[in-house]
Amino acid sequence: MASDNAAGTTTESESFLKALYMGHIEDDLLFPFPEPAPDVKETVDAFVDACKDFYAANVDSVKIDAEHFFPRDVVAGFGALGAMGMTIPEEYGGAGFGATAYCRTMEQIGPLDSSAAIVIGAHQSIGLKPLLLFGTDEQKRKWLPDLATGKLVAAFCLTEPEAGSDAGSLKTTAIYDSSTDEYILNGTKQWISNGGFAKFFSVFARVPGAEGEKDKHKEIICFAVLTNEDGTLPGLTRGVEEKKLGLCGSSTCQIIFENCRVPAANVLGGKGHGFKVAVETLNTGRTSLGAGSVGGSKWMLKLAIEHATQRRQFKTRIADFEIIRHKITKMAAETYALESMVYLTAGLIDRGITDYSIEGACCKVFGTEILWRNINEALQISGGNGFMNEYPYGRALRDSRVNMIFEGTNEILRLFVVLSGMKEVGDNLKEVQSALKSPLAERGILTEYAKKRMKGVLTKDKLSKVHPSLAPEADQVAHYAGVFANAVDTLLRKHGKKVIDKEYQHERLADVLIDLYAQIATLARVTHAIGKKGEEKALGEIEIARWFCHVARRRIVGNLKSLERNRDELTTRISDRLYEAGGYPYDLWA
Amino acid sequence: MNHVVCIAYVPDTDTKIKVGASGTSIDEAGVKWIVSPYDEYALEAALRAKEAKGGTVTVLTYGPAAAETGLRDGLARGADEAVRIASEGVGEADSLAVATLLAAQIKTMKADVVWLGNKGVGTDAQLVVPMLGELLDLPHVTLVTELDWKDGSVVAHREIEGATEIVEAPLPVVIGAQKSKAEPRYASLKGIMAAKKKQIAVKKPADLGVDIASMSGANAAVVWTKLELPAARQAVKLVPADDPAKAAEELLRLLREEAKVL
Repeated sequence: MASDNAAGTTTESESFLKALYMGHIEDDLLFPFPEPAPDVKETVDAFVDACKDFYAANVDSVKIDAEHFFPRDVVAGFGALGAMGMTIPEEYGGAGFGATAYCRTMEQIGPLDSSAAIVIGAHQSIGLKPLLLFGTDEQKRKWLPDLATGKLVAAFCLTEPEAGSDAGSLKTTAIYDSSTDEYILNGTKQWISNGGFAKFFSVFARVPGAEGEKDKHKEIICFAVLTNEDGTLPGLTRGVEEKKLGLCGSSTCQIIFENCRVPAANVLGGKGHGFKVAVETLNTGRTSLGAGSVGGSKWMLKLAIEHATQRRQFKTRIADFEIIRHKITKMAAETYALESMVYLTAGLIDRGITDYSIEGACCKVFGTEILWRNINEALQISGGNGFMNEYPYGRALRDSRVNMIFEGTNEILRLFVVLSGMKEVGDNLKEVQSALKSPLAERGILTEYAKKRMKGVLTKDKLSKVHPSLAPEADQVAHYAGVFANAVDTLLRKHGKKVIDKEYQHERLADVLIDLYAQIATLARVTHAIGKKGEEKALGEIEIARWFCHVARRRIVGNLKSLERNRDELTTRISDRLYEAGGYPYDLWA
Repeated sequence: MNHVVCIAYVPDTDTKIKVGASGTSIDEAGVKWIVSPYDEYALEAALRAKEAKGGTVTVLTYGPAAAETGLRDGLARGADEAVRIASEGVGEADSLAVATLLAAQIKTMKADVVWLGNKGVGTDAQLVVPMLGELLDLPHVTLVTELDWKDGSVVAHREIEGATEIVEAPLPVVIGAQKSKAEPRYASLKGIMAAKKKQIAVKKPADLGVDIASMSGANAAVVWTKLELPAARQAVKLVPADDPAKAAEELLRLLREEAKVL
């Protein structure tokens, strides 16, 4: 990746965060903070209004949750409304929403009913994505128009009983039958959202031995499996609806394939590329989960403020107690940072950046955990009421819990954002090492990274375009971005290939990265806000940014220190003992 | 049959209204604007008539550029064309001024039915429908919940106190729509996208030959002199119930002397 850079100019990774790993702050990607064209905003506003009217008249959220059933006529209604075709290009019958418009819509309609958000989200964030991203024009013409109107509802079939986070180990098989030019599918897919009524399934299956022992991922193919109009297909069975903790109205079941025949023409993305199709699909879907978390967090903040300003105890509004002030401020500051991160990422996607897998994962991890905390805090502020099911908190907790599990667990995604960044750095390090071995090599052929590295300074990049009122924050963030890049570099040199297993460290680095990205996005957004309305009117936003950056800096400092000084060895020994004992082994009175 | 639906773009009924600095208008900062709900029923009825009998639906409003969002909403729901009479540079316009402008524009169109909500939420004056009837020299029917079509005339169901009045009027006619069973449809995303591509015709009062200065602002027939919010509701008064007999006595006293309901 670096050696073709003979002119000595910087080889810039397209990904903002990958560049950050290399010690670069790509100012140009941040400023001006992305803002969609007025007509896009108008379209989203008009559509959200229409959705709100539709929900008010047709979506009985309490009933849907209580009865564990999503009315099919409401799904059809979503189709007529256009909610099922937001992301499908206009030429295929959809609305051609970009990431920003889609995120902004899902942010606002998500909290109206989370089961509905799953119906709509599972359909287009993942279900039809393989077709959208990898289908041939012919395949798109054939199926996208019906997917756009909701005549076909899509589901994404990757997970299996034995293949969760390790999706590449899936066991569903696809055997080619040359006599009919079909594949024969066998296997069981698990926890399939929309599984109960979908008529279009993106199914991932393995052609055993297709690539020998070399690369098991290369055996995987993605198929578009379509049922008949009545929803049946020989060899395809829908399992019973799962009984879930939350999102009770959404349909989740197994999809079982027994000698199910699929035409070879239904392969999406070509033979041997199925794993890539799955990974890319999931990478693109995560930003919108962050957006959903923004919407949920705003809703919780509204409830918390309403209650805190009305409820009086000890002759005082509880809103005036400092412990409550702190909770509310934290909820708002984190929501603001999250919103900034999500719409910076969506803006990057819309301007054509193709590699946003790390940014999307950050949005998902940061967002889903903020939402969880915010629901918990809103519930806490509402006191005993929060524990009563007639209030919305309990359901919100139940519904949002799976966010931290599906579309890549937050643990896997923490490893992912670190290892993907490290890979980039590692590739460049090799070059540094070979250059150090032959010191006479011409410096001109080295990348910017290698040159900086050899000088011993990784980054002095500044967040130079941040408004002066936030200069201390900008300096601080730039400084720790440099420390972070150096820490990654140091870790790589110390452990070499074994760095992959250093998950104690990855968790810390992931949290530093997320806090850096959140601050950078926040500073870019506030700078934009000041540019638009002036410092005085943007004071509220300036102060919330200061608040957030202060808290984020403290976390970063703590995590960076723990890279050097920690009790990781103890953690390993203690957990070993616990595993050995199979439970809590310490007897109180012994 | 050609339908013209006049819509008013008004503050959302959920909006917390604040009186502006002048004391005679509302503070528009942070106000969310919507198509007046009664006008939505008028549009729905017009769209259904068009779907049943053919013809066109044009949405018409008097207002600032921001009101075009309301017209786009009408287009998104299925209207064919949209016209805005620009309010830029015009002083406060009362019902007569608005009706005069609407009438001047409608005279340039071949309208068989002119639809409006029976009233615009907000000012609730209920004047524009009868005024338009007068200015256009057409029959008008208010409080209409249902309309049957006959050759050259309409049979309208009027919602009056405790009864339904059924009247017949020849076309062309001005109809003031009341809330009805025909619930307004939602704009679909497809409709919204299509509406974006349509042009909205903008007319200035002068284009319509109306000397608006002579009938608006200080020259208007009706001038708002003062705008006041209703008095804030008092906090709940709790009577301590430590001694039930005393509490009952105190409660009675309060109901008699303070609330004056007994």
